[in-house]
Amino acid sequence: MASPAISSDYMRGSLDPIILRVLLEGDSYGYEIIKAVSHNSGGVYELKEPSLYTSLKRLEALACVTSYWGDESQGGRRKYYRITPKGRQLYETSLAQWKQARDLIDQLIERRAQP
Amino acid sequence: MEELKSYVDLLFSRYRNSARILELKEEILSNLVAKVEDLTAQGMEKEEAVRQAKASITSVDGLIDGNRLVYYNQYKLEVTQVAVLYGVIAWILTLPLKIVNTGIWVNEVFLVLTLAVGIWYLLQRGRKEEEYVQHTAYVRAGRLRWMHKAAWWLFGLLMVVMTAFTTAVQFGSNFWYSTPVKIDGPFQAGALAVRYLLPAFFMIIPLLYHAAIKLVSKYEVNHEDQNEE
Repeated sequence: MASPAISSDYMRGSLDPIILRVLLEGDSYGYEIIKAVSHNSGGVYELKEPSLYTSLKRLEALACVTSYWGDESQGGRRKYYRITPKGRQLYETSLAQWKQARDLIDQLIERRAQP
Repeated sequence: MEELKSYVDLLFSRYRNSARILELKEEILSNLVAKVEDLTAQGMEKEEAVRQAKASITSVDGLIDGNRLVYYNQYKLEVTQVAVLYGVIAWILTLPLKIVNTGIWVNEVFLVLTLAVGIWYLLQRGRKEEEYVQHTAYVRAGRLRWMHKAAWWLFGLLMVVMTAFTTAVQFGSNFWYSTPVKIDGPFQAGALAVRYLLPAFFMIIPLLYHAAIKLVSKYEVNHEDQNEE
């Protein structure tokens, strides 16, 4: 599904805000987050499981998310994640930084016709 | 979902079941189960869904606290280099110890071990293939630290036991029969000192663990997220 060219290098630095964005819509568990990311990308990008866990672990260490166990009985309990006020803050900062970087990179990489 | 459960157990087989590990296992398993349920609900064959779920996570080394990704062959090479260096020092320092029988034995063991490790080191050092040099793997730094501590404790214990043992062998009869301790000249004094000193060379083991821990950060891969592949 995902074309390998986009998947790793460009996405790597933005995984945290990508996941935070999903959690802004509501608490969620691992596989559901992956589904949501895929859905948000229109099926173009697929978040890999190991990246998801690494990112969630980092966000939890930074107190940007908290976790709790669901009460499913079949197929094992699911671990849900909830965004914290600190996480919202990180999301806003990352978004602003991303927009700035995107504009700059656009300007630097894309060749435009000279006026 | 027994198959998925045993697969997750397999992924974690190198790790002890601490509370943290058990939680991670449960989380990963429940997500894999959710994936299979989702894929089968979309009409995929169960077998294929399980296969895809398994393929989505093939290693958990990057998720364990204390594990650190390093350029493994370069790291291993420098740890070996330190081992050779320590071996040479130990060999030189044990040369005068050959005045007692055990000293000869200890000195020769150091020589043989150092030569063996040294030859291996020289062989590996010559390898310059990109694939070999750039190979990365996780070092279990948490476990290394634990081993380091355990090695010092064992060393301390060994020193106490060996000192008591040497004292018992050397002076036991003096204590028993209350006869005065007699040391005939400098050679005997030296031989006695050597007997007490010999176990101290086991210090090389905790020292090597120490070096192995110190070198981790030197060869650590600095990418933020290496789990993509």
